[in-house]
Amino acid sequence: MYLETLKKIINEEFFVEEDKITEDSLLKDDLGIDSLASMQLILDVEKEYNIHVENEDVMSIETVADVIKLIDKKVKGEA
Amino acid sequence: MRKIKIIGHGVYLPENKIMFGDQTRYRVKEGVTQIDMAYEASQKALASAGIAIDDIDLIIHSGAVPAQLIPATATLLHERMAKGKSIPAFDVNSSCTSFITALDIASLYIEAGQYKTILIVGCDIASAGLNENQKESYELFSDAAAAVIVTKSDSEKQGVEASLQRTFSDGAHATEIRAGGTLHPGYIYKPEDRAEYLFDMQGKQALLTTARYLPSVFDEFFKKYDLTMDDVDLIIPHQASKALSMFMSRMKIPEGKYADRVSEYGNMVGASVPFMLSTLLSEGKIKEGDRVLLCGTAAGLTVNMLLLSL
Repeated sequence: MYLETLKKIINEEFFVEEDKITEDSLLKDDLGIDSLASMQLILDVEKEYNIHVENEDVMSIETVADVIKLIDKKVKGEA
Repeated sequence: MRKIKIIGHGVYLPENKIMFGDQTRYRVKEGVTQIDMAYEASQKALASAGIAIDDIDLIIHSGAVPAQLIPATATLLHERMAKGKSIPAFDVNSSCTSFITALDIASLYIEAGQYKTILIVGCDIASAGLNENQKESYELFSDAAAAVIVTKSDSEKQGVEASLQRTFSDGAHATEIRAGGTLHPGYIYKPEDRAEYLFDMQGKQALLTTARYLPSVFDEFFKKYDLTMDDVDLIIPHQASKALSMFMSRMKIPEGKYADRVSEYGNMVGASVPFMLSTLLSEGKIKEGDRVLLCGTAAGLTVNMLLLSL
């Protein structure tokens, strides 16, 4: 569920083709989303899911799966 | 308009130049102190203004890390250049944007008639606190000093037109030096705690807080003072990192509208903004009549903006 939405956001924001995006994709090396861009992605995700991400939460974000885990944790925690 | 004008400026750049790929950085030689650097920059500023220390009514040091905890770095500079005189001297610290805060304060003092001519010196020796195990920050910073002298202007078109400072302390621990102050005094030093005394930057956290707040403060500033980007001739941002151009691009600010010399000089911490201001004045890239927007983000996270008509 989150993957499909993330694909859409990443495609719209960073022009990465959706079929190139998998859970295992490394944001930087596979999708070209550098540190700054990945933080922009976090802000997009916050808006999409109406969640608030703490600074400590972003330390280990490397892959699409990491972002999905973060969304899941926040959505459940803040529901 | 808080009517002030710059009458002198000068910089001190260490001779020791090192390269990290295509990035040039400057580091002081052993034995050169923060006071030496601040003094050299101040002397150049006095010479360029054609005035003497007796003409200065206030000395402000604006920087992130002091030469020692007590007294103020401005006081130690006073000892070097104004000993025996009663010129007041104090420090202003909003980390990397200390100069913008200091200039804001100076303009208010001058406008109020409290002081007429103020020397502001920004000086930081970043290399004294860098952690060689944190490549990102170790290769980013330079040591430098820059001094600017401001005085009352008679022109209605010269001075500080607008300023805005905001602090978002959810970024307080993204960039820090934790030890050395009262929370972790130096006298309890243990070798295994060495990293606590060094600069620690959590790059992603710093980027997240900057991405979260910088655009909104820009918007607030322009709305509050009913300004547009057309009112600004050049943006002089704190040269924080290579991400500068990316942030500018995200805020739809075109190249050429802002000074980006990160690859040439790196992040000079508290010296960054006055160094850029002095350098651009010396190079003739900005001149009397221009409206320059000094701005930047600092550890905190603090966002600072000030529109100055030269």
